[in-house]
Amino acid sequence: MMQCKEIARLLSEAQDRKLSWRERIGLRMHVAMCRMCQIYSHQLATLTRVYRAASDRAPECCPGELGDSRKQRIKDALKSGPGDA
Amino acid sequence: MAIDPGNEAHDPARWVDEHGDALFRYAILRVRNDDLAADLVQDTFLSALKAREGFRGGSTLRTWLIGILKHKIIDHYRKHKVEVLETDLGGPDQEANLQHAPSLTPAWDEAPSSLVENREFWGVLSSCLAGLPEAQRRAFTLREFDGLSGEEIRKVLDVTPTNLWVILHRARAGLRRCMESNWFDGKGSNG
Repeated sequence: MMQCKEIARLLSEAQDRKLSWRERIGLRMHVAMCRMCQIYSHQLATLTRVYRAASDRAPECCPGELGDSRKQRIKDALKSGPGDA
Repeated sequence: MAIDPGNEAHDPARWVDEHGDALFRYAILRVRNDDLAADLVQDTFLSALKAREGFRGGSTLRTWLIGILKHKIIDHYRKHKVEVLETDLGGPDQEANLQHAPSLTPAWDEAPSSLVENREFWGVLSSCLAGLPEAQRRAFTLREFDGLSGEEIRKVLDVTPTNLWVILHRARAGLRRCMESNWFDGKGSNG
C-alpha cells in the first residue's frame, strides 16, 4: 500500500508523464479509500484550472501597467530602429 | 474586437499604446520583476519591428506579439539559468508541507475560472506564484501556462526528467498550500 506522500507525488506526476500500470493501480486503490488524497487530488485539479484561467486572461483583464515613462522609452527605442535586438 | 492589422502593423508607436500593457502583464506573471518584464516587452517590440514584413495578419497582431514575447522569456531562462536548490527537490520542509492535511472547504469546489477577475483573488494567486522559488516558478509556468512538454522544459531548465517531476510536484504543493491558507480556508463559509 502506497503512502499519502507518494500519492501526492504521483497525482502531480500524472499531469506530466504517463504513469506505469503499477503506479496507476496503486494510485487508484489508495485514492478510492483515502479521503485526504481525494481532497488533495481535487484541489490540484482546481489549482490547475484557476492558474490556467489566470494565464489566459492576464493580458486582458488583470492588474499591471507598463506606465507612461516605460512606454515612451520603448517608443524612442522603436524610432531609432531595431538595431541588433 | 475589430483590429485592422493591416494599418496597425505600419505604426509601431501604436503597438506600444495598444498592446504594451497586455504584453507587460503576460511577462510579469512569469518573471515577477517589473524592470525585467519591461525589458522583455521592449525586446519583443524591437524584434516585431524587424520582422513585421513576416506578419501577414493570419492571427491578430496581439497574438503575434505574444508569440514573440513567449520566446523572449524562454530565451531569458536559457541565458540566465537558475540553480536548482535542495529545497526544490526535497529538503527539510517537504515533510511538513505534505503532512499539512488538506481540507475541502466549499470554496475549492466552487472556484469558477472567472474568479481570476476578482482583484483580491488575483492578488493572492499572483503573490503565491511569485513566492515560489525561481526554478519551481519557471517549471510550473512553462508547463501550465505555456503548455510545454516535459522534454521541452527539461531542455530550457537543464534538469533531469526525475528532477523536473519533483520540481513540478513541489511547485504545485507549494501553490496549493499557499492558496489554501490565503484564500480557500474560510472563504467558503464567509463568502
